[in-house]
Amino acid sequence: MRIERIELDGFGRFSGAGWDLGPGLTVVLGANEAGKTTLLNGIRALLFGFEATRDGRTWYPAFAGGRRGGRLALVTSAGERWAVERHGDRGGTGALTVRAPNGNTGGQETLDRLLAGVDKELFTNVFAFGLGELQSIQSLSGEGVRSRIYGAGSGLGGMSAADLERTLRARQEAVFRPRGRDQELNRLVARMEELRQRIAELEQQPARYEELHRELAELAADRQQVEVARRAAAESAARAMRLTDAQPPAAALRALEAELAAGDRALDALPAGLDGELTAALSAHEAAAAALGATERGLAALDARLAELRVDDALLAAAAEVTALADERPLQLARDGALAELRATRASAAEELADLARRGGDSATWLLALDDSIAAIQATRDAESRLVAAEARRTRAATLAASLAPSDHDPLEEALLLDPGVVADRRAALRELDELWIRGAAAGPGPPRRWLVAGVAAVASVVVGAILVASQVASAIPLALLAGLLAGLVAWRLPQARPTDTRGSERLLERAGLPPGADIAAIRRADDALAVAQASDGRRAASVARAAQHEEAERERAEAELEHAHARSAWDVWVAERRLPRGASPEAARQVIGLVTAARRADQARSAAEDRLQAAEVASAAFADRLERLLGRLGRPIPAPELRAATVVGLADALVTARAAADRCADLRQQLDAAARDQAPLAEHAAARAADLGLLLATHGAADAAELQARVAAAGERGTLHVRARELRARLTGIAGGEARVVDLLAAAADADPAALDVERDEATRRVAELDARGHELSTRAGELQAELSTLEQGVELGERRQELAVAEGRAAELARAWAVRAVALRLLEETRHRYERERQPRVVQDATAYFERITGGAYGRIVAAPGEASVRVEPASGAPRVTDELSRGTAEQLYLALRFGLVEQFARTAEPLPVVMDDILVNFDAERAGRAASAIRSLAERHQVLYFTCHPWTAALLDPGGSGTVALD
Amino acid sequence: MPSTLPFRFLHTGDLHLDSPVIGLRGEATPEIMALLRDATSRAWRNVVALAIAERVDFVVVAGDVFERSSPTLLGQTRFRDGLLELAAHGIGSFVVHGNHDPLDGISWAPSLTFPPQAHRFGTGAGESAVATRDGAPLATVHGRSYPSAAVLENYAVGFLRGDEPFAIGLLHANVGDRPGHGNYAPCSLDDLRAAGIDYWALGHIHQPGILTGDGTLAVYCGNPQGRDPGEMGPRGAWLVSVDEAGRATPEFRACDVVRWASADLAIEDLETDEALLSAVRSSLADATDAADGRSLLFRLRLTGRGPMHASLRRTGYLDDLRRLANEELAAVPPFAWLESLTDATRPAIDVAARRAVPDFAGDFLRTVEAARRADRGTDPGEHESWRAILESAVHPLFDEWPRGRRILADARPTEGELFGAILDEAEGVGIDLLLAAEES
Repeated sequence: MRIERIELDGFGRFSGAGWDLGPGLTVVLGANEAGKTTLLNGIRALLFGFEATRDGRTWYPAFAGGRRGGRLALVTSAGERWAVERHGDRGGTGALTVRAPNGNTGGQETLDRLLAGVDKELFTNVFAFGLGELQSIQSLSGEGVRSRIYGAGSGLGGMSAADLERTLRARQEAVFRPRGRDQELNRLVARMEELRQRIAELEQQPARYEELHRELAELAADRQQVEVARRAAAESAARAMRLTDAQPPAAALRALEAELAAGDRALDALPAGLDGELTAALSAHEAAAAALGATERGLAALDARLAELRVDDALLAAAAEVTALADERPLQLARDGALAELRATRASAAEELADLARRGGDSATWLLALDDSIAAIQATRDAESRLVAAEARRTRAATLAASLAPSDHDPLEEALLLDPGVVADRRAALRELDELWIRGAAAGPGPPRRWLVAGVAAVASVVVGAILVASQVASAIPLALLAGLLAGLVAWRLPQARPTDTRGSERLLERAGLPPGADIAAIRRADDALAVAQASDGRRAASVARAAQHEEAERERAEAELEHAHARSAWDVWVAERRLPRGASPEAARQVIGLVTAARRADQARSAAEDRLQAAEVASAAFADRLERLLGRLGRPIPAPELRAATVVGLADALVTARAAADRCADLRQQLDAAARDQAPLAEHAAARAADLGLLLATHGAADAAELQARVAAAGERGTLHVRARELRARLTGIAGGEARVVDLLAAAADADPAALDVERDEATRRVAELDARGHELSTRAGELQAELSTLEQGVELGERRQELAVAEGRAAELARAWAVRAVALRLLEETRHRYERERQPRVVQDATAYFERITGGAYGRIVAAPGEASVRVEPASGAPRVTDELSRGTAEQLYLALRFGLVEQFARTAEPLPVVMDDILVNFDAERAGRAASAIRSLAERHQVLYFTCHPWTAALLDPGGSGTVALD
Repeated sequence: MPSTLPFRFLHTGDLHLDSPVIGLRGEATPEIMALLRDATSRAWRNVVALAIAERVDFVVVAGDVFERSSPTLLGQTRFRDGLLELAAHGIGSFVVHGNHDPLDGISWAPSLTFPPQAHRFGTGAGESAVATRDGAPLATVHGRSYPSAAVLENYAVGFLRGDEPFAIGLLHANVGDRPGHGNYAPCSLDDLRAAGIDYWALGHIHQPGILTGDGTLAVYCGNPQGRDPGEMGPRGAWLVSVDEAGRATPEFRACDVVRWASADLAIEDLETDEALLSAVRSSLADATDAADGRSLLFRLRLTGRGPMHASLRRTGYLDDLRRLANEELAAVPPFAWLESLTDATRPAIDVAARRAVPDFAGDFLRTVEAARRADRGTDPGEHESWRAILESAVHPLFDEWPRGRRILADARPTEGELFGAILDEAEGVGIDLLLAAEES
C-alpha cells in the first residue's frame, strides 16, 4: 500500500496544503522549519489520531488556518483506492472517516483492518521514524515490536519463548515456592508435618491405656482397704450410739417390772375380753326386755283403731250397678246435649228445602219430582248449542248480505252495472247538459241578480225587525236578523243550481240517469263515473260478480232464519215435557235442575235428624229409670232430671269411700294377727338373756354386774403396764440389732459410763468421715480413669488424623507430580530456547543481518536476537560478539535501521506492505556507510513506498541522484 | 475322607482396621470423609452381620486385622466388639496375625481381651483348635500368627493335618511369590497341596480369589474394604459350605461400604463444555449403577485427542469440571464421588508431523525426542547429560527444599518416571503452551 496524496487542511504551519506522491522512493527536501517533521507527524495523525494536549499546549494546532486535520489517499497493491480523513481540535481520535473503494464508509475498525493491525507504537517505531526513535533500542524492545521481531520467525504469534517460560513459572510458583507459605503445596506439606507429629502422639494411646488400667487396679485395692477400716470405725461408733440410746429405756423397763411384781397377779388371769363380754350380756338383756314391751303396746293400739272403722255394706252390694251408671254417665250427658242440636238440625233442613222450592218457583214436592239426571242436563246443553249455532249462522248471513248490498248513490257502482250502450247514451246526455250549463253561465243571472235578491232579503229582515222593535220584543231581534240572513243565502244559491233551459235539462237529466234538479257538480261526477266505467271492463265484471254474491247471501240469511225458528220450537216442546217453567232458556232450565240436588240433600238431612232425635229420647228415659230404681233400693231421694248426673257421681264417690274402709279394716286385722304371733318368742328371748347374765356373774364369782366391772378395770391397768414393758423391750431389741442381743445390751448399758460412750462415739464418727472422704477421692479418681479409658477406647482423633494425612499425602503427591511435570516442561522449554538461539535465527533477524552487513560493508556479519531477550548482539567480521552498548552511535543506528528494515520486510510477507517514512536518519552515518544506507533504502523502495525527509541536499542527492523523485518543501 | 457334619463358616481377613482410605486426590465433603474414615470398621461390622445372618458355625480371620502395629484403641475395641457379638450368637472365631499386626507389636492393649469363644493363634508351629457345634467337632483349624512383620519362613510346610474330619489352614502368606506384595511366609501351591489341608484360608493378597480347586481349596479372602485406588471392585468375604462328604463350596459375598471404580473417557467426539460435562456425569452414573447400591469412589481419566483438550489444560478447568460433576451424586449417601479427574488427553495434532516443522514448537518436540533417545540409546554421556537436565528440573522441590526432602520423598519421581511418564506429560504441557501461543 502506498500514499497517493496527502492533504493537510490545517496542521501546524500547513493550511490547505497537498502533495501527490508516487510509488517507490520520494525524497522530501526542505530547509529547517520547512515542515518535514510536521508532515511526518501529519501522516501519523491522519492514520492514528492526534497526540494529547500537554502543558496546556495543543499538539500541532492549525495556527496557519484551516480545519485541523486532513486526508490521505491510499492505494493498495491490488490497485484499490481508499481515503482516510480525520479532523479534530483536541487530542484523541477526532472525527475519522474511511472511505472504501466501493464508496462505503467506516471508522477506526476499518482503518485497523486496512493497516493489518499495525498500531501507533509499531508504526511510529518501525514504519515512520525519525532520528530520535532510531537512536533508542527501547523503541525496538516494546512489546508490540518485540513480538513482531521474535515471534515472526518462531511461530509463536505474539509471544516469545520467554513469555511462555514466565507463564509456566508463574503457574509453578502458585503451587510451590521454596520459601513460600501460602502456596498450596507449601501449606499442604506443613500440615502433613503437623499431622505426623500429632499422630505420633496419638499412637502412644495403648501404653497410656495400660497405664490407666494399672492405676485403676491399684485404686481398687486402696478402696477395698479403706472400706474395711471404715466398716470397723462405723461399728465402733454404732456400738457407742447403741449403748447411749439403750440406757434410758433400760432403766424404764427395770422400774416397770418392779411395779408389776408388787401388784395382784390373779388379775392377769382374767380373760382379755371379759370387759366386752360383760357389756354385751348386759346390753342383750336390756334389748330383749325392751322388744317384748313394745310388742304388747302395739297390740293394744291396733285393737283401738279397728274399733273406730265403719263400712257401708249396702252400697258395696250395689257396686256393679253404681259402676255401670257411672260409666254411662258421660254418654247420658252427651245424649242430653244432642237433643237440642238434633232438633235445630231438623228445623234448618226443612227451612232450606222450602227456600229451594221458592227459588224454583213451585212447591217442594214439584221440585223433588223434577228429572235432574245427567241426560236431562246434557239435553239442555245440546239445545243451547243448537240455538247458539242457529243464531250465529243467522247473524253471519245477515252481516254478509248487508256487506254485499249495493251502496246508494254511488255513480261509479251504478255505471259499472250498466250496459255499455246505455253508458254511451248517458254520457252523450251529460255532455249536452254540460254544454247547456256553460252556455247558461255565460248569459246567466250573474252577480247583480244575486245581490238584488240578497238586498230584498235584507230589506225583509229590516222590516220584520222594525215590526218586532215596535212590538217591544227586544229579544226577537237576533231571530229576525238570522231569518234575513237565511233568506239572503237561499237567494244567493238558487241561480247556481239550475241551467237556464229548464225543460231541456230535465230531459237530459232523465236520459243521463240523474234525478231532476241535479247540479253541474252532480252532472260532472256522473260523467266522470261513466268515463271510468267505459274504460274499466275488469271493474265492471267485479261489480256484476258482487251483485251475484249479494243475492246468494240473501238466500243464506233466509235459510238461517228458518233453522233458528225450528231450534227454538223444539226447545219449547222439551221444556213443556219436563214440567220446567215455560219460556225458560236452556241455561235457566239447568239452574232449576241444579236446585233439585240441593233440595234432595236438605230433605235427607231433615229425615236423619228426626230419626236420631227419637233414639236419643228413648235412651235418656232408660237411664233415668235405672237410676231411680237404684236410689229407691238404697233409700236415697229421687233427684230432679237435671241433677241425675251429679247424683250418679255422688254414688260413685261413696262407693270408693266404702271400699277404702273395708280394705283398712282387713289390714288392721292382719296386723293384729301378726303381732299376736310375735309376742311369744320375744318373751322367750328376754328370759334367755337374763339367764346368760346370771351365768357370767356366777362364773367369775361376782355378786352382781357392778362388782365384776370393778375387777375388770383393775386388770386393765396391769395390762397397760405390761404393754409399756413390751414396747421398751422392742425398742431395746431394735437398738441391739436383735432380740438375742438384748440381754447383753441391758447388761452393757447398765455397766457403761455415759461420758466414756460419748468420747468413743465421737472418735469413731470422725474416723468414718475421714475414711469416707478418702473413699470419695478414690472413687472420683476411678471415675476419671474410667472416663479416660472410655475416651481412649472410643477415640476417633487418631483415625481422623490418619485419614486427613492420607488425603493430604494423596493431594501432595498429585501436586508434586504435576509440579514435576511442569518443571520438566519448563526445563525443556529453556533447553529448546537455547538450542533455538544456537541453531535458528528468526527470518526478521536474517533480513536485518543482510541489511546490516550491506550498510557496514561487511564489517559485521551476524545479528543475534535471542527469543526472550530485548538486547541484541552482533558479531563483527573479526573479534568477539558485541552487545549494542559496545557499538558506536553510528553503528548502533545502522544496526537499528537494519533491524527495522528486516521487520518491514517480514511484515510485508504476511500483510499489505506499508509505506516507510524516515526523517533525516543518516546524519550520524559516515559518508561511506551513508551511501551504502542510501543504496539499501533504494533497495527497500523497490518493494515499499519510501518517503525520506531531509534538509540536506547531499542526502537528497545520495538517495535520489537523478532528482526525479525529489520534492522540495517550501 | 471321614464323614463330617455339614457346616458353614466365614472366611475373612486383611481387615486393616484403622486404615485410612489412601491415595485420594480430591478434597471430599466432611460427610464423605467421615464415611471413608470408618469404611474398614463398617466393613468389619458387615462381615459380622453376614456371619450372624447366615448363622455360620464359626469365622476364620486370616491376618492383618489392623493396618499397623499401632492400631487405635477404637479399632481394637471395634474388632473385640465384633468378636463379642459373634460369641453372643454362638459363633466362634479363629484369628491369626499377619505382617501388618504381628504379635511383637506394642499395639495390642492386654486389657482388651478376646471373648473365650475366640481363639487367637500364637506364633508356634503345629497349633490347632477344634471348631464344634454343641460339643461335636466340625473341623480342626490349624493356624500360625506372625511374631514380627517380616516372616520369611515357609509356614505352610509346618501345617500337617491329623485324622480330623475337616482341616482348615489359616495362614497369612504370599503363595507363589506374587509381585507387588511383601513376600512373607512364602510358599508354593505344591506346599499347600502337600499339607493335606481341605481348605486353605489365606490372607495377605487383597484381591479375593481361588488359587486352586483340584482337591485342595486355597482361597485368598481379599480385604472386605478397598482402601486405595488400586483396590477396585467388590470386596468382601467367603461364605464356605462344607457338606457331609467334606466338600467345601466357597461363595463370595460383598461386604464393602465404599467401592472404588475407574474408567477412561475418550474426548474425540466431545466438542463443547456441556458435552464434556454430560459425558463425565454419564460415566459417573454408569459406575454408580454398577456399584450395587454402595457409595462409590470414582476415578475418571480423560483420554484421546479432541477439541476439548485445550480447555482441559486451562488452569482450574479440571477442578471446575469435577466439582460440577459432583454436584448431583455426591450430596447424599450412598454417594458417588468423582474423586479424581485426570487429563491424559493430547492435543489434536499429529505430533510426529509437527515435530518436523522448522519452528520453535518443532524444536521443542525434537528436544523432547532427543531426551527419549538418550534414555533408550547407548551413549552414557548423552544419557547422563539429559538425566542431569531432568533431575535439575525437580531438584528444587524434592531435594533442595528441606520439607520436600522429608515429606515428599515417596512422591519424588524416579529416573524411570522422569524419562517416561513425566517426560511424556511435560511434552504435552509444553506443546499445549506453544500451540496456544501460535493461536494467540
